[in-house]
Amino acid sequence: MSHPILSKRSNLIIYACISGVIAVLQTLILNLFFKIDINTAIVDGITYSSIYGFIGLSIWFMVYYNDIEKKNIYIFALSHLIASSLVVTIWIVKSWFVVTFFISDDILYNTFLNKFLYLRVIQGYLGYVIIVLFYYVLIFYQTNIDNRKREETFRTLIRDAELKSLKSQINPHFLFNSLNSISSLTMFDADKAQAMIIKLSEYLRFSLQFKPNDKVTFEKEIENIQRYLEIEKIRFGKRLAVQFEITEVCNTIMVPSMILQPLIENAIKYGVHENTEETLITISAHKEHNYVKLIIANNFDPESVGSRGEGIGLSNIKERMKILYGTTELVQINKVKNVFTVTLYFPESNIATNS
Amino acid sequence: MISAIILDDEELARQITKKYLEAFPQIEIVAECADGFEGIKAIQQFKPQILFLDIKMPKLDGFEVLELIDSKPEVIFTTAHDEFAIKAFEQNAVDYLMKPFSRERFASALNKAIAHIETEVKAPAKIDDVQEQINAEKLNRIVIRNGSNIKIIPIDSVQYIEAQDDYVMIYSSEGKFLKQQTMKYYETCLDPAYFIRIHRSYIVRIEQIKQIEPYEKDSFIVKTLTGAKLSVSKSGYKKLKEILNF
Repeated sequence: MSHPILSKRSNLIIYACISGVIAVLQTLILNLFFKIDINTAIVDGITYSSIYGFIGLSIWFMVYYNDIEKKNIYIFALSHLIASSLVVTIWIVKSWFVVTFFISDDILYNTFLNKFLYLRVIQGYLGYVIIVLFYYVLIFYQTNIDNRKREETFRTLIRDAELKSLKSQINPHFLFNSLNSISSLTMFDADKAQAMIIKLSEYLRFSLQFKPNDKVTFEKEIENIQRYLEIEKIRFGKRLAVQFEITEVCNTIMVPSMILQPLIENAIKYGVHENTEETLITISAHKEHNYVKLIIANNFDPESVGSRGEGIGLSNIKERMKILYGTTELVQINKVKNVFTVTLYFPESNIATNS
Repeated sequence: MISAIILDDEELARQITKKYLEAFPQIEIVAECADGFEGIKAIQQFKPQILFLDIKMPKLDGFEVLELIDSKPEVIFTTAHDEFAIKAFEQNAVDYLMKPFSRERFASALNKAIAHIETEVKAPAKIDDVQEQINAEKLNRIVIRNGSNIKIIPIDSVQYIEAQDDYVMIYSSEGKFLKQQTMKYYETCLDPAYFIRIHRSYIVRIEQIKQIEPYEKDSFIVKTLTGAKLSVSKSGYKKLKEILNF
C-alpha cells in the first residue's frame, strides 16, 4: 500500500488545508487567549503547524511497518511511544529554532513559551495519536475493500469453474460409437450415413457453442435433444423409442444450455445400454404456475441395472441447478418399479445470472 | 474353416465386422449375438475359434462373458472405450480394436488371431495377480453360471464370502453360490468401505457384523446378522478394531 496522502494529489491538498486550519486556530488562540502579538502569533501558528504537517507525513511509515497483528503488544506500544516522543521533540525543537529566527525580542512570547511548554507537548502527543488512528482506520478500510474484492473475484472464479466442470461434456463414447455407426453405414446406406453426419455435426455445433452459464430457449434445448436422440436411434434401432409431449408455451423460456443432455445420456446409459428389449424415453413439458415442469422418464431393466446410486450425471445436474437458481428443490428423482423419472422445474423468469 | 462369433449389441457395429470379414473366406461366422446371455449360449454351443467381443452390452459385459464360458476362443475386443485395454490384454485378448476401426487395422488383428490358431500357439498363462489390474474397478455384481443358468448377484446382496479350496462360496440374501475364483481377487475387487477380510477363509460385509465374541484362547469369532459364525484371525481382528473403532 502506497502512502495514502502523498500518492494522491487531492489527499495532499486536503491534508495541507487541515494543517492550514490548525495554523489559523493556533494563531487565534495565541492572540486572543494569551494576548500574544498578532505577528508573532501568525509566525508561531504557521511554523508549528507546517512542521508538524511534514513530520506527520512520516508517521505513516511508523504505522505501515508496525502491524499490530504481527507484533507483540508491548513492542507495539513501546515503538509508538518512542516514535511519538521523537516526533514531539523534533517538532518542538525545530519549530523553536525557526520561530526564534524570525522573532527574538518578544518577551511576552518567550515567557509564554517557557510557561506553557507542557501544553505544546500535550498538543504534540495528541496530534500523533490522531494521525496514527487516522492511518490505522485507513489501512483497515483499504484491506477490507481489498479483501472483499478478492473474495468476489474468487467466488466468481469458483462458480465458473464449477459450472464448467458440471456442464456436460460431449461424451467421447457417444462420439466414437456414432462414428462407428457412420463408418458402417457408408458401406450399406450412403444416404443414411450422410444424414447421420449432418445430424452429428449439428449436435456438435450446438454443444460446443455455449459457455457454461449461457442460457438458451427451451425450444433450442429440446431441438438439440431431438438431434441427439435421432443419432442414438440410428445406433440402437428398435431398442430405442422416443416420445415428446411439449406444450408450446414452454418454448420461449430461457434455460441453462445443455442442461437436459446428461439426463438423456443417463436414460440411454441405464435404459437402452442395459436392456435388450425396447426402452421408451418420454420427454414432456408443460407450464405449472410460474415454472416449466419438465419430465424425462425411461423404463429400465431392474435385473441388470440393480440398485445403483444416482451417479455423477444426476448429482451434477442438481449441483448446477443449485448454483444457477440457488435452490435444491428444482430437481426431483423418482424410481418406481422399472421406470426412472427425473423432473426439473425451470423458473419462468429471474434466472439468477451473476455476470 | 475357422469359426467365429460376433458379439455386439449394436447392429451397425456387427454389420461392419461382417463386411470386413467378407475379405476372409476362410472365416465362417457361426453366430451373431446382441447380448451377453445369447453370446454365452452360442459360444457354449459352437465353441468358436475367434470371438469378436464388445465390452459394454446389456445383461452381461464382455469381461463377464469371458468369465462364464468354458472354451477359450481367440478374443478380439471391439469397443469405443479405451479404458479397458489393460484389462483386455490381461484376459489374453489377441487385439483391442477401438471403434471406429479401419479395414487394415481389422485385418491385422484378424491375421494375428489366425496365426495363433494355425500355429496352435496357446496364449501365455493368465496373469493371476489381480494387483496388476491398474484400473481395477470395484465390483458391483458377481455373475455365476450353473449349467445353462446365469445368475447375476448384485454386490449389495452379498453377505459374506467363504473360501472352499479352488472355489469361493458366496452367501447372499438370494442364497449361496459357488464360484471358481480366489479370495485374493475378491479382497482386491470388493469395496473396502463395505467388505473386510477377517480371516484366510472369510470376507464379510461390515454391515453384516452383529457381534464379535471371544472364542477359545486368544481368538475371536464374528456373528453375522444371519446367524453365521465366522473365525477371525489375528490380523483380521486388528483390521476390525481399526475399522469399527473399538
